[in-house]
Amino acid sequence: MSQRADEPSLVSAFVAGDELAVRSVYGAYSGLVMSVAMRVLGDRGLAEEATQHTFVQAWRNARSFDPERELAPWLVTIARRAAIDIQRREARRPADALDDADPGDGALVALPPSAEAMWEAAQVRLAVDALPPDERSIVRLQHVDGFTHSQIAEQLGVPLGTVKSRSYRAHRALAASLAHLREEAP
Amino acid sequence: MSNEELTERERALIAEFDDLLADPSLWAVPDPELEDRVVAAITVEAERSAPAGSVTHSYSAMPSRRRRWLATAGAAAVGAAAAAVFTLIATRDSSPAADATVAMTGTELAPGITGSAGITSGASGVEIHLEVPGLPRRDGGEFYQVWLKNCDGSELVPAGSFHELDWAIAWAGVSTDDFPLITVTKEVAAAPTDPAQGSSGEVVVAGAVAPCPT
Repeated sequence: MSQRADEPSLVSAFVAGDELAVRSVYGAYSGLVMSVAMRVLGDRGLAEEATQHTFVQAWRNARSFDPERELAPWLVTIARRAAIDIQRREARRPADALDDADPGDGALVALPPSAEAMWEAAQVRLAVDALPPDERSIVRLQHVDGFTHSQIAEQLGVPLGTVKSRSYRAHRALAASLAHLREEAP
Repeated sequence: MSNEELTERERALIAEFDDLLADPSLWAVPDPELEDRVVAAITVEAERSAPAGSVTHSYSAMPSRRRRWLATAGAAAVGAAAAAVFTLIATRDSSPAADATVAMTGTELAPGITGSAGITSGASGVEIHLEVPGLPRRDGGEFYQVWLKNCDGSELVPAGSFHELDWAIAWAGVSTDDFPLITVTKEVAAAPTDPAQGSSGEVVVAGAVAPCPT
């Protein structure tokens, strides 16, 4: 993943606490951070809490951050730690009987994803975020909702051929973005 | 999935990541309101830690619609937004720094609890940045309520409700000159006309922006 050319100057403004820099960093990476937190916690409210902690913590530590490095891996590391802290806090809360627990309760998750697994998921999220919105929505409908191209065409009100061509472009772009993850493996 | 036009290698690669792509958490997006909370939290800390007049934001002075537009621009293109950052920094005035930091102390209902409240007055009201760790989390219709109170205790202004106060930002539309006492009570959700809508009187933490006349 290549570093965005403007990130060093953006990080400098972020360190200074400039509102627009904070908003720019948040706008570019809040989805990534939220997805990391959701993966650990499985609870939307707690994940938003972790997301807020992540950006505040990033700002607090930004002075020691090398502006020549990429922001995304650093934020993912902070987000994972923030989410694990919240997961541990929730696990300490008085619990009902396990039989009554919601299977999606973050406190029931014994082990958080490893840092490596989290970074891989984060890179998939970054690749998805890089897609144009119309292609991104098709990928989501295909993979998350399990829709066929015909169902997507009906859902979005666009011709079937348009769905097929957007799906093709999107998956080709994803394959190109993610290829390095498998090429690095022995 | 119909991937007839992808190469064999591309199809295999996508298949390897199918579990991740199918996971709803990968697609999670925070509530739009979270952005303002993050910016408020950081700008308060920035004001508190920076030399007077050196902080370059003006959160309360910027219209919400404009802030949201800029945030969208930031999400769409970091480069364009970053350029806007530096242009706008040069043309805007600094905001006032935090006014005061108040020590918060637990009552007999929360013995041993200590913390702080950063007070920042702005055009829209007074912001109270609370850091009071150690209070047990309240859920399920139970919560903590932050209040500003006048010196004789005859008037009380709500400043927000919270699950916990390890790190929270409360707001009130009154001046701490008139309402210098900060209290936090234990409350439960109640019907609109229920007398429980007022303060329970169960103060767990308190502090004073300024001393009251004796």
